[in-house]
Amino acid sequence: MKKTKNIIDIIKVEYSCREVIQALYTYKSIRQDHKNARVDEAIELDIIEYNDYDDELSLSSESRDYYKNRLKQQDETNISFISDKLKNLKNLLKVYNIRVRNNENSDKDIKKIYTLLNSIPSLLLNNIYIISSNSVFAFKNESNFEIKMNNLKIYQEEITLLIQASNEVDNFIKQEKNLFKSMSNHKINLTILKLQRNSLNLESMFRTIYRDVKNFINQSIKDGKFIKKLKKLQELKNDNDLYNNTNIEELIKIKPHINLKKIERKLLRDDRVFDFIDKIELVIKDRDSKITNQKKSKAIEYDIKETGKTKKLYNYQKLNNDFLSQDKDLITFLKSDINIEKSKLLGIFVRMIKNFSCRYNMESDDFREIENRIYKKVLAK
Amino acid sequence: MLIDVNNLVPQYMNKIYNIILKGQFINENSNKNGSAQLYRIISQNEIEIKSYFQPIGYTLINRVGYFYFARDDAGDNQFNLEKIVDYIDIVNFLKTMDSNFNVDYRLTLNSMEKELNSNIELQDLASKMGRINSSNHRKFIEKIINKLEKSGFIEERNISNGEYIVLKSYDYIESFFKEVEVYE
Repeated sequence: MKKTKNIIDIIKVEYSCREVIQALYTYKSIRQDHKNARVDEAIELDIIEYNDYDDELSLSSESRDYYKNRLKQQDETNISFISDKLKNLKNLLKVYNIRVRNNENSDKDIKKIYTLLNSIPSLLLNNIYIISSNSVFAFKNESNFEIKMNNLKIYQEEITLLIQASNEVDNFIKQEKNLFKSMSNHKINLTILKLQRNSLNLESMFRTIYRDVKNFINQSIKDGKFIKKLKKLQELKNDNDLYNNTNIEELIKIKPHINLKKIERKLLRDDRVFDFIDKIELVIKDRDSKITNQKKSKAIEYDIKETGKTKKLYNYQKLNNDFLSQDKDLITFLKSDINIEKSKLLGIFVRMIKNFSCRYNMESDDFREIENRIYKKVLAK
Repeated sequence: MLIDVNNLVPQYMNKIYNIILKGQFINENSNKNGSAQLYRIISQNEIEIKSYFQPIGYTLINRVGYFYFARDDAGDNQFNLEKIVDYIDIVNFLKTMDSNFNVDYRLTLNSMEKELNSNIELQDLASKMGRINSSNHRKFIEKIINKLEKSGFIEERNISNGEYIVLKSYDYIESFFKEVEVYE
């Protein structure tokens, strides 16, 4: 790293490379895209890093941390900073005491104490936000189950550490309350008030976040068990042991199930008519009575136009006798009969079942697909 | 004389009946075929609709975010059992791909293909899924997506980037496997 002249030089280089820095904050880039003297200087000042092995440019870790802090986008906790700050504060208070005892000017020390003290509330809050967002991210976005569990446990530990740090701050404020008062500095008094007020809010935040992470862990444990079960089920399925070693067959009989197979509309048309049968009957009765009344005055008017088409009549009794004397199922038998028109297959199939169902065996779950229709396998008894 | 049955009952009954015939779910988070609107209607008229379809052998089942009609004899259907058993491989594959795969999850063909290309465990699982035999990873993923879409568990949400969303009805298959007991 090149020795820097002063802060202005660093800012100048950062300013001249501002667009590259902005781009590198999100993505890595290849050196070829940014080959100029300004970027060279930024590399020398360790603002940007260059990896000559894969010709890649990226932000140095110090720069990244700096910008993350400025943008309040940290994704790593710094709980230990709180203890460090408390340690420094204790030392500063000692120095302050000595100066007061020796009647020396302590203004500078009070300023330092204030700066340190004032940074603690935001440090506590930032850490809470980081743990909260990290835990939600891990729970919702981490695709690897083991990494997810590992991260969630780390965040749970971090909350415990943060609670301890927060308690340390509270105790410290309590212990040194009189000393802070003696400073008679309104800024320090205000910060202490802020810390005391925050303490209550923090407690409820800790409780919420701890409960959330605990729920995430519990849910993840459940998910993990489910994934394990799926693997076991697949193993059993591959070994053809699924039905022997699980209750899957019983379960499918007990549980209410959607029919995963599409039902042919035409075969179920009757179901719907059945539902309206009472209403249809009323309408027909009403129509019949109207026709009877009209008979006296007018000739009957038909509302169904008859076509001149001649109907082909089938001898169902004969068809049935033929069917009973062979081994094929009903629809295959009907299809093989050259006298039956293809378009009439469904109608004849239904009529045969309607007329002779007591002589047929319809218990099989098999189906036959003919002319894009699915027919039940019906055999002669 | 012709009787228009649509005039005898509320219009949505016809839509519901079509859904029953097709063996579909009615999802709260679906954007297609007015499913979300139908979901709201059923939520408001649940008892009426339930008693309407009960006599013809369909029971309305209300689950979190979706409805479906259970056929009384569906449990005896070998076809249903086989379909559900088929899903063991698929759900296991999806959960291995991303343990967060669940209702409202968003996926694209590209992202799934990328994951399959880089994950040996997934490649191993895919090779064992005989029923979804494919010549390459892309086709394999396409088949999985088609199957999920046909079963009404996912729906294309963004045509421009090929993004799919997992519908609430996906819970149907997962909750079934959660209830399966494995004898030790």
